[in-house]
Amino acid sequence: MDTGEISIDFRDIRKSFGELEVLKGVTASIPKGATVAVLGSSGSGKSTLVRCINHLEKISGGEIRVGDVALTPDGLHHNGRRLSERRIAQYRTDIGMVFQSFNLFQHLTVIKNLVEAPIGVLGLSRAQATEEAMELLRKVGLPEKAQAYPRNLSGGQQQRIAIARALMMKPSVMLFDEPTSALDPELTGEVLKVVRDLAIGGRTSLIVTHELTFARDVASHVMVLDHGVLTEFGPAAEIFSNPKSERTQRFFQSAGL
Amino acid sequence: MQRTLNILLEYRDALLYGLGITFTLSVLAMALALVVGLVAALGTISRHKLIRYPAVFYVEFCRNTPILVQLVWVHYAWPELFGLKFTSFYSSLIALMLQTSGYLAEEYRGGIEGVDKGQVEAGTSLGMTPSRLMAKIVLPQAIMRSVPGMLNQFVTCFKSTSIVSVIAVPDLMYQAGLIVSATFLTMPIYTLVAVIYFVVVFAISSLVRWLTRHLPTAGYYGAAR
Repeated sequence: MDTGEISIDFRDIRKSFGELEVLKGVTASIPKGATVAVLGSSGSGKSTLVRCINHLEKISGGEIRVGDVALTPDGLHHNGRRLSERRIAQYRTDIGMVFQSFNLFQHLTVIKNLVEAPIGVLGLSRAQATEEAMELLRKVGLPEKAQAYPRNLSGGQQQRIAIARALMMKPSVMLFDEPTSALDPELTGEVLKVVRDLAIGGRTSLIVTHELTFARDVASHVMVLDHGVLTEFGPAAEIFSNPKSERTQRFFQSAGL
Repeated sequence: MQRTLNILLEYRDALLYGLGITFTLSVLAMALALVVGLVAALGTISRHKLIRYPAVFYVEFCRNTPILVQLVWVHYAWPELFGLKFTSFYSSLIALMLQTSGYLAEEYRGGIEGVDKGQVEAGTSLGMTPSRLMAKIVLPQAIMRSVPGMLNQFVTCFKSTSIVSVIAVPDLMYQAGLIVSATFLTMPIYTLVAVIYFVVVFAISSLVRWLTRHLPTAGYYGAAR
């Protein structure tokens, strides 16, 4: 697998949960290094679309190309060869993910949350992993919480730790699934700042969010989904100033943009 | 009355010895069951049918046969069935282990299923394989969640030991029977045995309740260390 910036191609992506079709043929090409805001109302399929990229959800139809890996309904392929479970796990190390509910490992301290996968999966030495973890903790402004347990942290602190944990793997792609939706409004700022200043970097990033002001601030591209259909996709400036559909116009207006 | 007390004092050592056997049996059975129950629990959630079906059968068999039947079955049927012949003590140990491991397997399984799926997804997205996730993320939390259930299971196991006297293991109950046949003091002896069981089991239960609240695993995976 390539390291560094990689592009993501969605080709007619379909996804059903039983009878319910949540993605109805999404096609879009995300260039290397783009920061994509994925917008849409609840139930529009935006979280599902992002979760398909690291194969947390298996697509039902179409193909996603992430760098030189092809995700299809019957598995992941690289150079025409099907990836084993172990290789799929390896593929995921290059794709960081931040969840709405933080999902920190509750039985581990903050520092152990950060070093677990780098040591166990990437094979870093404990000393090196700890050093890198402390540096990231300083960058997210929480070095003094290294020995704390997640349950003793605020939601905003937990989410900053979760972002640091994802960055420990030095991923080429970052996925954010509503990173501030579970937070009190006064805590969203500290998390969005970390997302903007630290997490996006030169990486290809997809951010599912309801924070339109933030999206307009950081996004190079915008996707708008509506009931499993991609209604808008393109450079952010274009979409924010001149949305194609009336629905999107109303959506932006209601947010005061 | 004085005579009765004198007789009880006379048999004090036999009763204490019996109590020692009761403790030994329940602690050993529990220790074995903690390991066997965990293996069985992991078996019941395996993706491979060849592992899952036998594991589910084992757990259901252990939980759905009376302990007395298991005891007699192990002691009298295994020699013919499997060519395995044990002394009364080891037959008792196996029977108690079977019963307890069945229930513990369910405790573990409940603990495993109770671990937040979000953490599993987070681990997956960090590139952990299912076996690494189980070992590093799920099991440690599942075991901590199972602690109260395990402790309660120990109390049950301790009480169950009283039936091993039927195959002549010299536990507390068996000693009582011997003393009754030698002295004919049926009421005082069995009453004393009931009181001893009550005092010991009540003490263990109280300790269990206290531990459940005060162990590092109490509440939400325990107080910070």
